[in-house]
Order: sequence, then C-alpha cells, then structure tokens
Amino acid sequence: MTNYVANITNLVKKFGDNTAINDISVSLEEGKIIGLVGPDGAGKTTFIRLLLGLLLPTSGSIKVLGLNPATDVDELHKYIGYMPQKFGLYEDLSVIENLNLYADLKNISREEKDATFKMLLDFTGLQPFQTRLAGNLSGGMKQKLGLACALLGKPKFLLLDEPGVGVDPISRRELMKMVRNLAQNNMTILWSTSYLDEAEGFDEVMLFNEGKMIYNGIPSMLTQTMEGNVFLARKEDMKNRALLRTLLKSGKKIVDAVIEGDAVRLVVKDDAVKKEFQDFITPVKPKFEDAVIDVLGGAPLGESLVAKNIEVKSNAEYMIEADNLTKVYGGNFYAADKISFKVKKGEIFGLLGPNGAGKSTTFKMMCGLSKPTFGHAYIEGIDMTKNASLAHSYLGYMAQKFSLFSTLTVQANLNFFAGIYGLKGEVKKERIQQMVDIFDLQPYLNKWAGTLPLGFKQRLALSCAIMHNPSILFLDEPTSGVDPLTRREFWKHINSMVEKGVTVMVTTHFMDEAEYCDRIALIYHGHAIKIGTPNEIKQRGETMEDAFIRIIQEADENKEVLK
Amino acid sequence: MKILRALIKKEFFQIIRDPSSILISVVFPFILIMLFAFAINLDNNQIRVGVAIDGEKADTTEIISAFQGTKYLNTKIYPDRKSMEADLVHGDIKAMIIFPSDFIRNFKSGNMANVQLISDGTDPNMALFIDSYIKSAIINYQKIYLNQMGMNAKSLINVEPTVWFNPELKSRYFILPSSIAIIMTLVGMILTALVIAREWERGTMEAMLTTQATKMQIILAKYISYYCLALFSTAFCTFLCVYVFGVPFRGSYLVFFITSSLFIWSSLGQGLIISTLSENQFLASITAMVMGFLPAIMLSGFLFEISSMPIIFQYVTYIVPARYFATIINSIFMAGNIWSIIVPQSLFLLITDVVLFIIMYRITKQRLE
Repeated sequence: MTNYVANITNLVKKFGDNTAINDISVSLEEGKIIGLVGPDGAGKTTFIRLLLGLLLPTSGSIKVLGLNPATDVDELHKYIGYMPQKFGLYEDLSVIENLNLYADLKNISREEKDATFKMLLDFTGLQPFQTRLAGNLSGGMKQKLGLACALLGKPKFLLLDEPGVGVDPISRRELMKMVRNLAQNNMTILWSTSYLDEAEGFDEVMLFNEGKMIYNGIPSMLTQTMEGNVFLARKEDMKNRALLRTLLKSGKKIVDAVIEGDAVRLVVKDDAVKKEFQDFITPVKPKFEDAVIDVLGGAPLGESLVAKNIEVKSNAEYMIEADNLTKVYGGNFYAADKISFKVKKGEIFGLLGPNGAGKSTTFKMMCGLSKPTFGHAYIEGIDMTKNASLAHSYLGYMAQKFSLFSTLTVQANLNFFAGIYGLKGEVKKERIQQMVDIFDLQPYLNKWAGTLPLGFKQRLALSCAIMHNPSILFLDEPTSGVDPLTRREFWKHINSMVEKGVTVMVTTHFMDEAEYCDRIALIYHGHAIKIGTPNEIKQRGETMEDAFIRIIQEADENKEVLK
Repeated sequence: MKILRALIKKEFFQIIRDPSSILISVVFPFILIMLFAFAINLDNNQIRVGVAIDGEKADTTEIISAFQGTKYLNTKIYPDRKSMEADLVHGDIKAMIIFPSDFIRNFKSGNMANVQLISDGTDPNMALFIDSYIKSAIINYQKIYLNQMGMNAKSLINVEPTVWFNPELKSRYFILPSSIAIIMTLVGMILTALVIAREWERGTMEAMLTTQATKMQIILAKYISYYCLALFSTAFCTFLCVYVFGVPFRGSYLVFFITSSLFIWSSLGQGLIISTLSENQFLASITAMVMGFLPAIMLSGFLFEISSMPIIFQYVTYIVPARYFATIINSIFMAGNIWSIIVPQSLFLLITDVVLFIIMYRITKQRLE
C-alpha cells in the first residue's frame, strides 16, 4: 500500500488578480524525493508555503501528514522540516549557535541534542567550522547548515525551497547525495528548483509553469516520450550558430533547436522533417529539458530582426582583452589573480564559475566599474583605466535580472537609456522606434516596465542595452531565473547579433548556457583554471556540469600536491 | 520557557555582534547628550547690545555703567547711531540703546527723560528678555541715583524673587533630563524598528514560523532583550547627566527605574509595531524617525511649552509617551519624588504600554499574509 504525505485537491491561490496556483491536484508519495521544477514565478514557493500553512488557499483543500495546514499549524510544524530560500540562517550567529537555537525552537531535549548535533555535523561536514559565523560560510556550507537546521527534530517531511540557488554545482551534487540518504529512512523530500537539469535526479517531478502543473510523474517517463526525436545536427560548410539560425527560420516543424558543443541539438517530432534532415542529423539520447520544451509547446521559431541594422566598424584585432587582471582586497585576498584572455570580433566568450570564484570581479574590471590592482582591461584596444568613457560608448551592458526602472513606463525606460547613451533628437526617435518595432513593444509602451511579462522585460532590457549600436555586449548572468522558452528567445537575439559581428562577453553559472559560448574561461578561486571551446572542455560523453566538476576537482588536487 | 530563553539568547548574540546596535544604544546617546549639553543653550548669557548717544556728547558714563554691571548684557559703546544700526542689521548686536542729547539734562532736572530701545525681533524670546533686562537695569539705576541724591526712593511693593529647584536657572538642568526622554524614544524605537523588519528581509522569520515558537514567545523575546539594552542605555545617559554634567538628581533611583521601564516598554512597542508593519529595514527606520523622534522633540514639552500650543496640538501630545516621561523625569531630577506628578503620568504610560502590546500582538502574523 502506498502512503501519501500530502494530498492536494483543486488547489487555487490568488494574490489580488494574480493567480499564483491554478487548480492543482496532486498526491505526494512517502519516502520519495520529489522535485518541484519550474521557472521563477511558476508558483513553486507559493505551493510550498501553502503546504506549510504559511499561506492560506483561496480554494481547494490540502492535507499534509493528515493535518490541515490552515488550522493545525502548530501540530503540523512538529513533523516537518523547512529550509526557506536564502536558508533561513542567522548570519551573525555561529554554526553551533544556529543549531542550538533551532534545536530549542523545535523542543529537542538536551540529551538528544548532543547526539543529533554530532550526527548532523558529521553528515554535513561542518564539524571543523562549528564556531564560524554563518555569514562567513560559503554558499555551499550555508546550504548544508540550513539543511542541518531543517533536519533537527527528525521531520517526516522535508521541504527545501530552491536549495540550489547561489550554490555551485559541486555543492548541489553533495546536497543531493545527502538528501538521497535521508530518503532511504522513509523521509519524504520536496525540493524546488528552477534548474531543469536537476530534475532527472528526482524520483518524481512536478513541473510547474505559470501556476499550472504541466507534468507530474517519473522524470524519465517524460524524457522517454522524446525518444527518437532528438538529434545533433552538423553541417560541414556551416558554423553551428549559422546552422541554428537557418533551422529556426526554415519554417519547418521544429520543436526545439539549441547550440550544443560544435553542433545544434535539434528536437523534431515530424517524420517528414526528420527525413528531410537525415543527411546531417544523428540521433542522441533525449534529456528532460527536450521533453519540457515539447510540453511547453516548443521553442520560439523564426528570425530575430534585431541585427537588421547592426554594423560593426572596427578593425581592432581583439575586441576584448584582459591582460593579467588582478584584484587584491585587504592586501592578501586575491579575488582575481592574473586573469588573461583575448576575444576576437564576433565571438561569444563566457566566464563560468561558482559564486565567489571571481567572475563578477573580473567582469567589473572589464566594464571599468572596478579598478584592477594591476593588469589591464582593453575594449577595442582602449585601456579601460585610461579612457573608460570612450570605451563605454562601444559597450552595451545588460545587468543581472534586467535592471530596468520598474515604475517607469516602457517608453520612459527607452527614453532614459537613449539619453544616457547620448542619443539625441531625430536619431534618438528613430532608434527607439526601431527597438519598438523589432521587439514588438508597441502594445506595452505605456505600461510600467515592472508589470511586463518576463519575456518582454527581457526584450526591453536588451533593447535598452543595444540602442546605441554597441559593437561589444556585456551580459551579466542574463538568464538566471528565466524560463527555458524565454531563454531561447534571448539567445536567438544574441546569436543574430553575433552573426553580424557583435562581440559578447557573458557570465553565467548555468552550465547549459555555456554551450552557447564559442570559448569559455573557467574561473575558480580567482584563477582562470581553463580556457577553451566547450568541446575542448568537455571530455567524451560528459555534460558541461560533469566537466566543470572534474576540472575543479583536478585543480583542488593539484593545489594539494603543491602544498 | 526553553524556547523563550533560546530566543532571548539569540537576540543577545545578535545585539553584541551587530555594530549598529552598539552605535544606536551607546554612541548616539553619547553624541546627543553632548549636543544637548553644549550646543543647545537656551540661557541668554551675555547678550550683546550697543549703546550710543545721539547728537552732542553728554556725560552718560554712569548710566551706561549700570548696564555693564549686569552679567546678562555685554555692552558695546558706539560713537554714532549709524554704525550701530549696521551691526544690528548684521546680527552682531541684538539690541541698541540710544540716549538723546537732552537725556542727562532732562533726567537731572527731574523732567521725563526718554531712552530709545530698539531690539532685534527675529528672535522674539530674546527681544523680550532684553526688554525686561534693560528696563530693570534702568529702574535700578534710577533707584540708586535717587538714593545718592538723598531722596527716599523706597518702593511701596518689594518683590523678593526666589527660584526653586533650579536656583541658578541653568537651562542645562532642564534640557539634559528631558533629553533622556528623547534619546530613549530614539534608542527604543529605532533599534526595535529594525529587528523584525530584518528577520523578514533575511528570511529567518519564515524559518522561525515553521518551528514550535509561538507568536507570544517571538514578541516577548524581542521585548525583553531590547528592554535590557535600552535600560542600559538609560543608565548610561543618566550617569553622564549626573556625574559628568552635575545635574542634580533629587528623586529616588528605584522610582526612576520603574518609570523608565514603563517608558521604554512604550518605545519598544511603537518600534516593534512599525517594524512589523513595514517589513523592510529602510522604511522602518524612516518611519521610526518621523513617527517617534520628531513628535518626542516637538510635542513632549521639551522644545515648546505644551500649554502654549494650539488646543488641538495639546490633545495630540496626550498620545506622545515622551510627554509623560519628560514630566516625570524633570520632577525626579529637579524636585524629587513628587507623587502627584509621578503617579498619574506613570498610569498614562502603563496604559500606553498595554495598548501598544495588544496592538503588537494583534498585528504580528503567524502566516505570510
């Protein structure tokens, strides 16, 4: 007989006019690791909070461990463990003080405490860091401490809200291993994530999109539906990016097409199209993401118009150059240590690395936002430290999370950014109109930027960054928290600009995003530990994440040897 | 009980490790006490006034020396009216006294002698002070002159002024104790306005709500720990006032402790309510400033006498706890335990405390909506 830890029927949650959870019915099976997968704003956090009784449903019913979260909150909280986003730790308390506090708040007896702490500290590997303040822990360690706190009181049901955010892939894997151990003792775990590649590790997934559950079941079952429909496409005479563009605008029935290594990953269900393409496609194993795109209705096809008027008139040999960039904080902390690379015209260059590795520091020095302790940053041959304002006129910059003025209208945002890039009069009008036409912003012109759908926010942010026709584009974590369809649209625009000769530098901690880059620098502990094309970095059969973890572990071992 | 103790312990760890709590509870009060002690001076010691004689010279040395005799005036003699006027306009002197050329003649011959007094009305209080100082100086001089002439100038009524509680009329004695009320409003409200907002911002409140801690325990832990901190701060301010600035303390420390506690609870209540309602530290601190600090300064009777406010504002002052505490604190410092003041004012504070606690309890959420 199957036991269920939670039964949810026809659950609806509205905030004002906004429906966050739209008629969800599901039962969660005991002893399973259940993934709650979906992009930001899909309703994942709201769903978890409803289960915990932190929010009340608008309609529908919830039973968790046989209790109603709306009325039996106090009883329910005895049996659950919860790790909120940002881990819910007191940063000014040490590791052991945090544990002590949460142990007391969960009414754990003194005798029990010692044994539990020892077990949890061993389990999480935090034993040596007991007296360190939680605020001084790395993202991965914070996450483990958060998990340890949530595990106090031996919960039957553990809810983790985005434990992977801000944590590098190595820590994410370790966490998954730990959670796997817990599930063996019949604990049920609900793990929410916006990383689709994490989904395959779960026993069961609930796929959320815009408040609706679009799939519920074993992840491999969904993946299997794509069996025989996924291919790698390669053409001798065409670069992967050009091929991708041709495929997207071909008007054929294509479900999905993205860059992977030196090829294009293609999802096609239509047999006629498969037959037509058979000369240059080879079948590969489907991934969860392929199936998700299919469930979501397929990737946005067609051609981006953004590059129509772009013209790059530069004859610098290297558009971007980092020469021994070094940033030292406090005399002995090397946030970036002798980082050098060169980026040619029309290349996409990626800075990849865990949080705190030094990629943001490097990025800031490249933009001229931070002065290198020594070394130089050049944009089209211009030294950033000497003539930053001239260099800035060649640069388009798009910050994390689309930093727009959310309480200004779309029109006002466009006007503002045109203004700060020095566009005036007729030129300004013309450029703004072009952006509006290319990105279909007309219907939204008088709406506040903050109220736009995510895809349009992203279009607006991009148009604000490229309005002055920059030859170089800097993108700082451009698609974190964005759903896979919006991300594909974004890269469609970027690719078309790169085809016209625009040079792009991008930071990301999404491993699959790294596939879009021509070359990648892996940044770790302030060093560029590896620079190369995605295919050079990956060994046979490896995913980008596998490669990343392998290279970092190798780097760690080398350091051990050097010591 | 265990949960409450754990929560209080947590608050103390946070207080000790957060530099801003030390800043707000020790450094701010210190700076403010210094400011109130030195910079804000309501005493009109040595007001600068100018004296000039219109027209031809006459012997006015005697009468001028009468002004110079008082410690309140600093007299400067000008050769003519014009240069003195320039200084008055400039603000270098606050008033000018002009003797007409026939002053001495008229005075000595027993006719009515006129003196012109022009004062700077931009500061009306100051102008009134000068007015009465000069009048009394002239009357005094007149008395002495008549006595010298052998005339009996005995007044029919003699006023014998004696000032109680603050015989030297040092305004510092009044300002410093009242300022403790202001500082305590600031410390109590700003500190606590931040703490709950901070828990929401950092996501720790959400984690705490899913443990077995109850709403009452969460609130009490905040009250108790920040009460201790504010009490420490009060003791520190009192120490500065009494031992550094020599302000007399005539009441009992026990009564002071009890009434301060009542007052601190009201500040904490206001601060926590603001914090709960704003859920973000920036908004909370600004609100605390505007809702707490400004009314405490303006409406507690500290800067402006309550009885001279428009009636409607007088009613508004009843909801400013600092008003009650300022009254209590002034009587404890300057006059001693005056029960007829302390008891009713303390009752008002107690009522405020209870009301604020109930509001606080009501608005604290056990959920996120």
